[in-house]
Amino acid sequence: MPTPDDKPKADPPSGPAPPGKKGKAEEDPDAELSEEDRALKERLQLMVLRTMDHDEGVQKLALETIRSEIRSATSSMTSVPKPLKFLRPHFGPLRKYYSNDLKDGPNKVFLADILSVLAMTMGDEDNCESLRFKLRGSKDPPHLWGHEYVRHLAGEIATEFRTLTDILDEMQVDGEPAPSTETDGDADKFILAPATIDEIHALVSEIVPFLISSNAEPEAVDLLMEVESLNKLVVHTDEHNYSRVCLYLKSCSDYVTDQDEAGEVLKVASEIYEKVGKRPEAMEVAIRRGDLDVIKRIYTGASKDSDYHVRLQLAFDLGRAGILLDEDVEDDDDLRTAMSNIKLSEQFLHLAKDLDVLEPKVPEDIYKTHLLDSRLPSVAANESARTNLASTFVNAFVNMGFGKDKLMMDSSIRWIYKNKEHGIMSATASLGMIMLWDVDGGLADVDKYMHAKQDYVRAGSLLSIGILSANVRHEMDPALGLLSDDVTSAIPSIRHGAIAGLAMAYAGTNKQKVKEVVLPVLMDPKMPEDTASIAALALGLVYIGSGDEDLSMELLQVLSDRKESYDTSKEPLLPIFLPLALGFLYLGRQEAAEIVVELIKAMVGEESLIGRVTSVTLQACAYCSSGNVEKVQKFLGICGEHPANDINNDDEVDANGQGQGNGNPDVSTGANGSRSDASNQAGSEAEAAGDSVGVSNDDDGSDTSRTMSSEETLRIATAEQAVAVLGLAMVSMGEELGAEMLIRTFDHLLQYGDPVIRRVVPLAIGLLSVSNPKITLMDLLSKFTHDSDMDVAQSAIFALGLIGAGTNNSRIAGILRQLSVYYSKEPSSLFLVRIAQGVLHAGKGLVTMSPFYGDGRFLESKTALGGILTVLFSCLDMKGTVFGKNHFLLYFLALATKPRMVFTVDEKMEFKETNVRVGQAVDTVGQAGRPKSITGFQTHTTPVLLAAGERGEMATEQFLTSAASLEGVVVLRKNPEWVDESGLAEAAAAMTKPVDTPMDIGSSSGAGASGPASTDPAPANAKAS
Amino acid sequence: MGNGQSGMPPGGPPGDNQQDKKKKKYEPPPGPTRVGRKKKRRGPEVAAKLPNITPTAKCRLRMLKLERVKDYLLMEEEFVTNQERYKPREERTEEDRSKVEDIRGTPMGVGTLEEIIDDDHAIVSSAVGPEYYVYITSFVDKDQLEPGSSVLLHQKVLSVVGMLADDADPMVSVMKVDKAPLESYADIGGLEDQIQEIKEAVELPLTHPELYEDMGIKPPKGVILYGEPGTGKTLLAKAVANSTSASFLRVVGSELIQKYLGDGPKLVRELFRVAEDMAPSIVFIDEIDAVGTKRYDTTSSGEREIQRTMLELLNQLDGFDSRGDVKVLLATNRIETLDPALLRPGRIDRKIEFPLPDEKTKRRIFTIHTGRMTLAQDVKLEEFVMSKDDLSGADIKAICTEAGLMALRERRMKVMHADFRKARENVLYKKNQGVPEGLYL
Repeated sequence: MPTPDDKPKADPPSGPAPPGKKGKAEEDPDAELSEEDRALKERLQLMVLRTMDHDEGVQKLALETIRSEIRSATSSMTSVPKPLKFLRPHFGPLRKYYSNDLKDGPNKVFLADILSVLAMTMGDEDNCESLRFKLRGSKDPPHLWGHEYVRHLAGEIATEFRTLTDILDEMQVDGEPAPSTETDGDADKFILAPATIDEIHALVSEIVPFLISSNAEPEAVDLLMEVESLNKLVVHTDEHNYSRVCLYLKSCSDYVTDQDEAGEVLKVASEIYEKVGKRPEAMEVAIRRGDLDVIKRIYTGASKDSDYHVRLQLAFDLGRAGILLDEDVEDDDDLRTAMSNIKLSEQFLHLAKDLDVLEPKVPEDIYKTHLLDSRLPSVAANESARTNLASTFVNAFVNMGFGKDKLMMDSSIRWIYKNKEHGIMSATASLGMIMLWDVDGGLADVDKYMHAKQDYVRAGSLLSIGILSANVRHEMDPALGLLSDDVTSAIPSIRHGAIAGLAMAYAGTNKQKVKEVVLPVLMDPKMPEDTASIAALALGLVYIGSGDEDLSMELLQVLSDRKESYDTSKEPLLPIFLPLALGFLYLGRQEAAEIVVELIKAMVGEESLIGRVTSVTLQACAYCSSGNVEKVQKFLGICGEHPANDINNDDEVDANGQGQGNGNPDVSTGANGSRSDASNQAGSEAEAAGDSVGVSNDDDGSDTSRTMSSEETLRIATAEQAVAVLGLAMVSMGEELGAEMLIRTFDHLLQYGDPVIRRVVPLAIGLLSVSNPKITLMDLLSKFTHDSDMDVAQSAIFALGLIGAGTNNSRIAGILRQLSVYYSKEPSSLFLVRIAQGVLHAGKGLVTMSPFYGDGRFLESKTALGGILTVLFSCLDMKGTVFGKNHFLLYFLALATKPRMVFTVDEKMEFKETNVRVGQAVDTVGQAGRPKSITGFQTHTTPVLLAAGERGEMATEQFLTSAASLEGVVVLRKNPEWVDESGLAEAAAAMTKPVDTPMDIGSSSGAGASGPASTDPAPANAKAS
Repeated sequence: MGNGQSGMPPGGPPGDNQQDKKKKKYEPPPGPTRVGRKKKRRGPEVAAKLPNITPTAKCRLRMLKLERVKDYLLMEEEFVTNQERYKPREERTEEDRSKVEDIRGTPMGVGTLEEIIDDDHAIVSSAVGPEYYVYITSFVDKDQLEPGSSVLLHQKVLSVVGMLADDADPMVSVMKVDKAPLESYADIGGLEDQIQEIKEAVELPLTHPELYEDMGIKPPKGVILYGEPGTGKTLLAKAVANSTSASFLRVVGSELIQKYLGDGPKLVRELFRVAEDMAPSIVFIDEIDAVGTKRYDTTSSGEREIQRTMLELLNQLDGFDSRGDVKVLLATNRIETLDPALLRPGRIDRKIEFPLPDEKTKRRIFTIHTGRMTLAQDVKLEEFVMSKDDLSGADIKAICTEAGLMALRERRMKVMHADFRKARENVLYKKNQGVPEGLYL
């Protein structure tokens, strides 16, 4: 009821200020106002008054004036626009007027609009008034009121949508309808009815095009994500904005909370890429999602005739990902060749030739003893079996993939026979490393050892067949044919060679035939434990990430069958590989593994060693590179326990005696007397502390220790902790942020953790940054290499090799050289130093072992991950594996090895030289404008090497490529618009058409001049920094 | 990370230690890996630093990333608190400390580090004179050691057992404004444009860097405030210091002129180094004309030193190293004498002029200053506001104070209009004292 008396009351600012104060408050700000401001304020006051007039015409005019004032105000970054500021006091009255008195009609709609804008600064945050008024207002596009308003609306939409969905969820539970009528309370507590979902969606589809058109793609994506209708995004994207949108989506996918949402985000990204015809990019996303149907669709979508180059590129990309499409999808021989990586060896050798590193290297070239102090007794002088074995490995890693070396191939040395027993096996198998990827050529070379008299030689030759077919799919499947028969051989080493060979050759293929061959071995209860372990590992690798349920049931069966032997047996492989095999099956499958975790509890038992370890391993694998913080928290919880001390506290009488025995946890048997001293002392100190502080978390410990001997509990707990530490790294390695944060966390683990944790942390650090030698990590690991706990030092040495794998990093090389002197009297450590040196110089610095590829960490290769994890898990117990007879496990690193090259080919798969710029990658997600994607670049002529964190881009316009990122094999296509220099001269002479980009031509010729420079820095120290 | 070794389980020296020692004898360790403070010394240690979150614009991705970081930090906290409950850190550090104390022994001597020979040996000279070749104990932070620094020496064997931190130049620490000035933006009459400009150039880049990124521009690095004396340059700087949470360093140009050669430039370097350590920070150099005058050929070594100081300043403002979150405020009333190199965009991107107040502003200033005075009814400030005198803000303040004093002299409780009039005459007379009116005009 607007009475004349009402108006004056509503007129002055009716804030919460009491009337006495009001007058003064009124005066003061007025004094500070300038003339114009005061005029504006008065005008607005008047308009507000008029708005409450009876006459609709007057109302309308007033509202229009207010609107134009608001719209014309140029907002500054620092302050609220003046009209809004002056209208603030009137918001309450206007709102009241709107709800109580104003009749429906155009003016009501009009006022709602204005109130909506005012609510931006004044409105009740909880009620999303801005949004609600907007919905009652006119249907004008919201952006007329400015960008800030749109942003605010977007924010409120998100809140409103969340509350709405909550209400809906509740309704489904309660069955009560949501309040839908406008509830008019008194003016202060006045609540508008919430918007409906449909209204929100309608508004969103109005806002999104505006945001996208005004360079605010991230905001548009955010808004759509908030209202869970991301699929609408596809229609709004085109070739101008797709890259920014998709880049944003791709990086979001790492961080969204659950797996389904990530899948949804990636799906939309893939659809957008497909829509704008960027098939290789779409393929990348599809590969990441692992959706075979989409992969096929994208692949076949590229026509063989008009888009042959795209199809070829896709074939190479699939080859990199280890996906071989069926014959009925692709029958073209050339394309199948590309897909099956047959050309990999040829391309790698081309790269090596171009960089002039074909000449084989001997281990001495790596050790560089001449750089060490010559006064020392020569390290290499004593040719023990172990130094020879080390040389074998170094030789294998350094010359891997080159097809030539100076030890194995030189028949006069007879190097194989300079090793002993299992050393012979590894030596023969090193042939496979040298011939890596070259299936046809390699088989011929290996053949002569296949029929050797010595069992170890034959075993090695079987393994080498597997190694050399790693990641390559030969159509004839020679490995299967040659290896299957020996799987059940009576001689253990031959069995192991054959099974491990199959594992390497068919990792990630899900090949049924391999399963048929290997599974009987695994299920045979008469087979010794180590054979069963390797068989399980092989099956895990072949079916890696498949989630194959039959196989997992069978593995579980084996686990429970052999349950007894874990507690008694000292076989090192068993407690490592059986759980790992099960983990591999569910690698990256996240929630799918939870049910298996339950099954383990049921079938194997919750408290047994193998049950606990398997469960942790499985979870670590399942959530591998997911960045799932809950799992991280869980693993951290496991790491935070102190089983040794708890037990000691439990029965103080036995404390000292037990301490001696318990100090040597079984998983890392490298414990020596000194450490049991240490833990013993720690135990007794904790005892003292326990009296006063009271140890809070010994409840589990005490429970179990009553049922089991405390020694047993300790063994279980330490085994579990070791896996949990690796699990931390596995879960976090998927994205930069988690990896970096985890390094921080490791700091605390090192400070507080038990010895077993300290031993595994270096390995975990190695896993976090494979082939990515960051200086901080290098320093840290280098510090641990001198740790007084020999196991910590050894882990650190190996980790040093791993973080520099295939980089030739001179700094790490220097550290390792010094270590080789430091540990010259310590054969096992020296052996590891040598191995690390070999891994560091793997492939003469032309390869990477990082499981991640595709522009940073976007894609991961599961087989590569499988290879690395196999080696790292076996390093949990170096005594039993690397120092024992199972050192051939190191060759599993070959699974992770890929040339780190950019190799350009034409449509006939012939090498095609061109110039590319290579520089440090810059994260350009969500940045304005067109920021540079690489920095500090150099122009090289292909083939070139890419170091970790580097990115390439085309430097000339002579060729075009459709590749998603310049990595691996890139298919080039002539640019139809390209005019080369001779053509340019003609064109200039003829003066017929303007030359489009003389600048480019100049730069490309300049690049050509600098091109040769790329050959000489060789791979050596490419990124020594 | 660092605490690797100390975090190992307490226990006797392990068995292989002996072997290591044996090796040490015939194997002189290779040269020092690092000598002195070459390492980056900005901010916290690299490993402890949080990773950069890349899209600086406000978006969901950034939020998600920040949440991820937060999750990890929470987990760290949880882990550490659990462990602390298990075995409190104090206890362990206490153990370590007492051990270190034992090794150090008392009393300790003070010496100067002359040269670092290798990772754990150095030459020191004690206060008495002779130099010794001594051992550096392993618990001394070698990154901190650099030739010339003072070290603690063991009483008998003179091995280096600690170091005396003489971190930043004490001069610089004086410059830091610990207590925020009382003047706020509200105490400034007028100058609205100037406030806005300075906010955009200095405060916003520190608080909302994403706004600039959105726009795709680099925020301005420095601002110079110039104008007649008494127009509020320093006042505005004070207001900035008052309102910002960034650390605020203030220095007067003349402070940068030092007695000894090379001290001035060194001070400038120190100043900016400290500023960077404490980033985000604002460096305010008042009366920059003391060092920043145009360069000219001179034989006076003092003059040349001043010029070198300015050159250092030039380099710090926009030299080879990028200044991160350090903003520079300069103030002068003689901008025309400054060296053009100092003022070029890139060093000083914004030049903010402070004109003499116009009528409106004068009125504001008068109201501010008379706000807390008891005025008689007859006071008509309008008269002074409208007068044509060249009154600066400071003059107005002087007039008000003077008027108050006049009233005080006559033991009145109120200030009369006459007081103001008298005060104005006094102030104006004194202001023009140096230049007798009308003589040279």
